[in-house]
Amino acid sequence: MFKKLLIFLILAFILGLGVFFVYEKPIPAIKETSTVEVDPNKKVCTGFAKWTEDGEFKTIRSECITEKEYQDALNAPDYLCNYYQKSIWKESEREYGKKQYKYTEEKLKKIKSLKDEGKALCDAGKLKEGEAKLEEAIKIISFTMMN
Amino acid sequence: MKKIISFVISVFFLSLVYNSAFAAGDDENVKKLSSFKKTGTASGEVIPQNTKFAENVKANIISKVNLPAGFKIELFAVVPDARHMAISRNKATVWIGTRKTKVWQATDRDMDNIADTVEQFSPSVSFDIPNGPCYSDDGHLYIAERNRVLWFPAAEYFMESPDTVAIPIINQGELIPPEEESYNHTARVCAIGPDNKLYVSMGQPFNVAGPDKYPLYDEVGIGGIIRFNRFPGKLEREVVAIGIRNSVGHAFHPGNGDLWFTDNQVDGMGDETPPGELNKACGLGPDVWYGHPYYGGGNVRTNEYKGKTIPGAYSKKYCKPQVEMIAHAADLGMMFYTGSMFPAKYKNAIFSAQHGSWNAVKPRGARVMVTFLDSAGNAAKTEVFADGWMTEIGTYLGRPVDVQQYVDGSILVSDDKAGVVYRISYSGT
Repeated sequence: MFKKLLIFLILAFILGLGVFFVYEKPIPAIKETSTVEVDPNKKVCTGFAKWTEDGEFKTIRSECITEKEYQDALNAPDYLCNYYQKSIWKESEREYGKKQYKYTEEKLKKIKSLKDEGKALCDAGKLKEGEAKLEEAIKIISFTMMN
Repeated sequence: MKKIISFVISVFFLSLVYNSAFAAGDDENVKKLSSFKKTGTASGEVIPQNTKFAENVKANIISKVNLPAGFKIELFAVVPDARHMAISRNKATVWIGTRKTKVWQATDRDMDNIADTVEQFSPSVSFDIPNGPCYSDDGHLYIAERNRVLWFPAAEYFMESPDTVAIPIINQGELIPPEEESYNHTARVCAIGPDNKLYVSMGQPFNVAGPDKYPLYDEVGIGGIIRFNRFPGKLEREVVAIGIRNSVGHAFHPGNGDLWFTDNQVDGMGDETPPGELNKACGLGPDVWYGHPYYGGGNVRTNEYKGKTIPGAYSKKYCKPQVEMIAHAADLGMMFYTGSMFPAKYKNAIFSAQHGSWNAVKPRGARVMVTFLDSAGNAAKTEVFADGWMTEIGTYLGRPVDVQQYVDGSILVSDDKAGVVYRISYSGT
C-alpha cells in the first residue's frame, strides 16, 4: 500500500514538474527608465518659444508648475472630474476636436448633456457619480469613428 | 464556335478584373506604369538642400540634441513631412513616406553619407497617405498607403524618371473596407518578414471601437497586423495579430525572426495613463490577441470595457507587452540595429522613435529610445538614446517618427515637424 502511494506521489511530482516547465511563465513588462526619476522641483512646462533674427531663443508663451505641483494635481481627489471635462471639451466642443470625429448632432447633444450632468455632480462633491457620467460621455466619443 | 465564345468570355472577365484593380483616382497612370508604359507626367518636385532653412535646423535644433558619448547627429536631408523610411541596398537611396500625397527619395550622390538630392518619387502616382515604404533584400520597394499597397520592382534603378513601374499588390479599396477609412490611425507601416511575406500594420479608426466592430475588424485585421505574398498572384492574405489599437512601427528580430511592434494607446483616461507599448509577438495567427479594446495599454482596463468579462477567445491567447513606455509619448517607428558602427552593446537592440504627446498637460516624448534584449530575446531595459527635441518649456523643436539603419551602420531619424531626416553616427571620439 505504502509502495503504491509512494509511486503515486513520485509520479504526481514528476507530472507537476513537467507542467511547471512546459507552461511558459508570463514575463512581466518592464518600464522605460525615464519613468523612474522624478525631481519634485523640476519645472513642468507647456509653452512655445522661437528664435529671433538676433539668434535669441525667445519665449512667446509659457506656463510652468513644479513636478510636485503636477503630481499633487494628478493625485487630487477631483483630478479625474477635471481631466474628463477638459478631455470632453477638447474632443467634442473645440472646433478642431469636433472635426476629428464623424459626430451626429444627436451625439454631440448627448455628450454635452452628460458632461453638464457630470460637472454638476463633481461640483456638488459627488466625485465618483460625476466621473461615471463623464465616462459615459467619453464612451460616446470613443465609439464614434474618427475622420 | 465554342472556343470563340469561351475566348470572348475569358477576355471579358479578364478585362473586368484588370479594371477593378485600378479603381483609384490614378487608375490610368497606374495601369500604364504596370504595363511598362510612359504616362507623360512631368518631373516631380525637388527640395533644395543648401538653404537657410537647413542652416537654421543645424543651429536651432541639431545643436540641442543630446546623445551618448561618442555619437554625433547631423542633417541628412531636408524632407517635408518626413515619416517612415526605407533604405535601398546598393545606391543608398532613402525613400521617405508622408501622411499627405507624396513620397520622397533622398540620395547621397557624392558618397559623403549626406543626401545631395531630395526629389518626389514616382510623381505619376496619386498617393493617398503613403506613410509606409519598405524595401526587400532582393531589391523591391513597397509602399503601404491608407487603403492600397503598391509594388515598385525597380525603384532603385529607375527612380530618376517620373515614371517608375508600379503594380498594385493590394488594390485601392481592398486593404480595408472603404467605409472603415479614416484619416487618423491610417499611417500604415510595412516590413518583409523572415517568411518573405509583406507585413502591414493597420490601426483601428476609433479611440476605442465598440464591440459591434470587432467581428469585422478581427476578420480583416483592422486593429492588427496582416501578412500576404509580396508579388502579384495569389495574395494568401492572413491576419497575424489582433487586439492592437494603432501600431505605427514594426520590425523582425534579425536573429530569431520574432516580430516586435509599437502600439499607441488610449486617450482620455488621464495624463499619465495608460502606458504606451512595445510588444513582442507571442506567435503569428488570427487569434493572438494584444489586449485592445479591453486593455487600454499595459494592464490598464479601458473605461469603455471595464467590468466586462474578456471573451475566452481573446483571453486564452493574450500576449502582454514587453515594455510599458510613458503614457501618450506616441511610440512610432522602430528597428533592430544590425550594423557594426555602434558599440557592441547596441547589436540587435531596438531603436524606436517617440513622436511626442498631442494633448498632455506635461509635454513628453520627442526622443529616440533604445531597448536592450536579454539572452532569451526579451526586453531587459529601455532607456533614452537621444533627446533634446523638446525644450524645457515644452516647445517641440522636432518630432521623431522613424528610425532606420543606413547603409554604413549609422541610423537615420525622420522628423515630420522640422521636415528633415537626421543621421546619427558613432566615432567614439
